[in-house]
Amino acid sequence: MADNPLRETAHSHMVSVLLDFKGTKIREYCQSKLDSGIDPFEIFAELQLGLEEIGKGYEDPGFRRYFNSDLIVSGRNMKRAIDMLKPLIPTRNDGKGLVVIGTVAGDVHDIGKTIFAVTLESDGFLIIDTGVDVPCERFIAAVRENTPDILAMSSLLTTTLPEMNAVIQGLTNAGLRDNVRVIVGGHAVTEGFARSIGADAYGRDSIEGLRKCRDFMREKA
Amino acid sequence: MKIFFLFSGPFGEQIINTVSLGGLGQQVSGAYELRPEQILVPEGDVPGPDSLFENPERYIPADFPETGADLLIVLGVHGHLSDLIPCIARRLNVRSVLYPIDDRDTIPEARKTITDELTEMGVHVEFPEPFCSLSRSSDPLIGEFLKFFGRPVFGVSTDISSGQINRVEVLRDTPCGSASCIAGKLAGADTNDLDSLSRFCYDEQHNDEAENYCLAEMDPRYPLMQEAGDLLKDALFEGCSLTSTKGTILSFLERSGETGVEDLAMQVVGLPSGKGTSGCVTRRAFDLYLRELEEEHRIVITAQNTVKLA
Repeated sequence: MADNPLRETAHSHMVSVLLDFKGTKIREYCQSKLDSGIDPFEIFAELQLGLEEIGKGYEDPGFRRYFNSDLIVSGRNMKRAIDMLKPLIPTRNDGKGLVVIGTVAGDVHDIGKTIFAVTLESDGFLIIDTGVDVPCERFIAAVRENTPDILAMSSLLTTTLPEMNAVIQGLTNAGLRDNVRVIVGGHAVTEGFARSIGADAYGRDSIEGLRKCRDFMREKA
Repeated sequence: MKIFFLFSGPFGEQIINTVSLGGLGQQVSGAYELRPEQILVPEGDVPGPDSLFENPERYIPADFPETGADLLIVLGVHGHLSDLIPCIARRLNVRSVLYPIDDRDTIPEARKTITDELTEMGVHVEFPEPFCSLSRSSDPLIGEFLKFFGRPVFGVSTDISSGQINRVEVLRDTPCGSASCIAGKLAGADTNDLDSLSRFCYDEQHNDEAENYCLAEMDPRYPLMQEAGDLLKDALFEGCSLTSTKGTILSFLERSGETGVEDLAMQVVGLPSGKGTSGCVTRRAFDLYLRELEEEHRIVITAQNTVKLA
């Protein structure tokens, strides 16, 4: 029975912290870890594992054990953790690269995009976060004005996938596409979709996304 | 009245918190969290989950409290575990069960069997969907609960000259507590700007920055959260003596006479709030309002699926 998804896992404690609707457990958890001298980024990465477990439990086609309410509350608690930990994560700004990041128009999901932004920032990238529900024109304007090395777009809804294609087309039409690498991610995105719209990379999660952004910068150097 | 909560996850926790702090705290005799991992992972001599429905008594956790209650409220418990409910009701010796559905995965797998079993035991059961659609009950215990929680009811005082809201009293809160949260933010809102007032309601109802907010399912194929938003907006509009969706339905029928239900739905669902009109976002809310207007003998729905004023 070792593969039973309902058995307690190494991340069960993180899951219970993330599912506390009052938000007190998440603050206590972060504070106690900080008090024990644990690196804020490490705490942040641990919580991501809990978040992933809830996501997997929600998507499990055999037995959905987490519900919509669990996703909402865990997302809210992750935001609380980000608010608490982000100021403590040193932004190295060591010139690794400039990234414009945002969630495409029609989609207001913030957490995945913010997690990726924090991950990049803690690795030395400089971030311009355009927010959520970002129209195509705003992405293009941000690329034109800031000349970033990388544009990162997130989409969690299949209905908003065409927006990513529109942004890439818009960059091409504006003559900006050759100067910026485009990485896409989010629940609705697949590697095949990323390829089909001409994105340079697909990030399954924030760690893979970070690795690909590092690769971009190495290639550029 | 003594209330016992059987719950799972933050959805249940939020409601228990609201009910306990919102007037019924003295009546709560206990709460127990029942998660699938407690039941559906075979341990020792306990067989796999397939036999849950055959011998549910055996699956009641050993640490389940020895207590009694009059009303059992089941919150966010996984649908696979619903076979336990009649046994738990018997163990608690309850007279009524309130089993709200705010997510498809909490729909009891054997709703009819459970209803039959409970009825046979002399226990009244209701399945409001979503919880905040509950507005009336023939059961005295659920009726007692409804004095505090269920479909929201607001008492609103406005400044007659400016149309600004002075004060909002929550006469009945939503079980999640979102109605109270919104009420606290409405002072100064302009009741002449119906579109903004309506949007404020829908946005705040699921604002996860608020202390309490709606946690119902929001999938467009099963839009319980959106329906809850409709109920909240219309409750506020009624409290402000503004035209609600029901009023809009009646106005349409007054103007157009007998109309097909589908045609009427096309007019009302998605209609923005404006002068003298206000629609709802979901078809579910429209259907609920239509049923209620029929029960109130204000409209007649014909066998040809048309609707007219009574």
